[in-house]
Amino acid sequence: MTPTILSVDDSSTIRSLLARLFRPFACELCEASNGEEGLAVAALRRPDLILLDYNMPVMDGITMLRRMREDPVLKRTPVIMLTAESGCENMATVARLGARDYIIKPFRDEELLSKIGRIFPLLPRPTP
Amino acid sequence: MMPTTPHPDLGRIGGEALRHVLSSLLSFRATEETPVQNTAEAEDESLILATVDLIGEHCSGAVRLQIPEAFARLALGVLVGAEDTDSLTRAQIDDLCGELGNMVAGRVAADLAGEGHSFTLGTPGVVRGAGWLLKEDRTTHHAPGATAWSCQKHRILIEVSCHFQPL
Repeated sequence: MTPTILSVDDSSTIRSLLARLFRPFACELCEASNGEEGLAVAALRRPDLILLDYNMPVMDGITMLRRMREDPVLKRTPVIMLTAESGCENMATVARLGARDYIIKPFRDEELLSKIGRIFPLLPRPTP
Repeated sequence: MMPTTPHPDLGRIGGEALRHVLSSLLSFRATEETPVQNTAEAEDESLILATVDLIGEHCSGAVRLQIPEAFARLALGVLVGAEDTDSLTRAQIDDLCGELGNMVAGRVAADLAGEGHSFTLGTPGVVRGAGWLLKEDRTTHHAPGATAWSCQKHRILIEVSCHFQPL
């Protein structure tokens, strides 16, 4: 079955960058621009992975992650945090809340693909 | 963690952060230019200023990037795989500049944390026009936290300013 990846980031640049990155792979990509919207989309689409920005308006990534861990449906969904901040305190919070991994922006494509590959295989999109 | 030096070299830290982000994100090479003067005309709408506040318990500051729109358009085209960069909207361009500012500020904050000064980042602010004056030293007319960079034939300015409370 084709995996679904939810990208939650307030930056349209990052969402577009991820859309370009996943274009060659057999996966569904859905998007949200803050944590509140992310929770709603996650409840609806039940993604296999969430790429979650740390700093966002309305609801930040940490709050969304906390809410997910309290939700019986979403609590086991793998999360990779995307952040421009590399503070040890932030990373400790992310780890304590059970995020599978984190990646510091800017990242190279292969770095993110390698982290996703540890969660599920990303197969090439079949040619029509 | 106690600060290891009272006055980190903000110009060096900012310049290295910018060079790292341009290289990692876009595979662009940037070379440093001298002198560091902001020769842009005020109200020049083709220049975009991205500002990210550095918020610390005992110190505060900001990272400012001045980016030509033509460079931002080129960079965004590379990032999202757009062949027709003319179709990119002003909102998309501004978002790219804010995100560049965010990444550079994140790198600056990481470097300053290594010197014992910890910060969180504010939300990026983006404005058009070069209404920005470098914080020059009145006697030397040198802006110690600013560096200028040439990248893909465009000129990018970065300034890191920080107020450190006495130890």
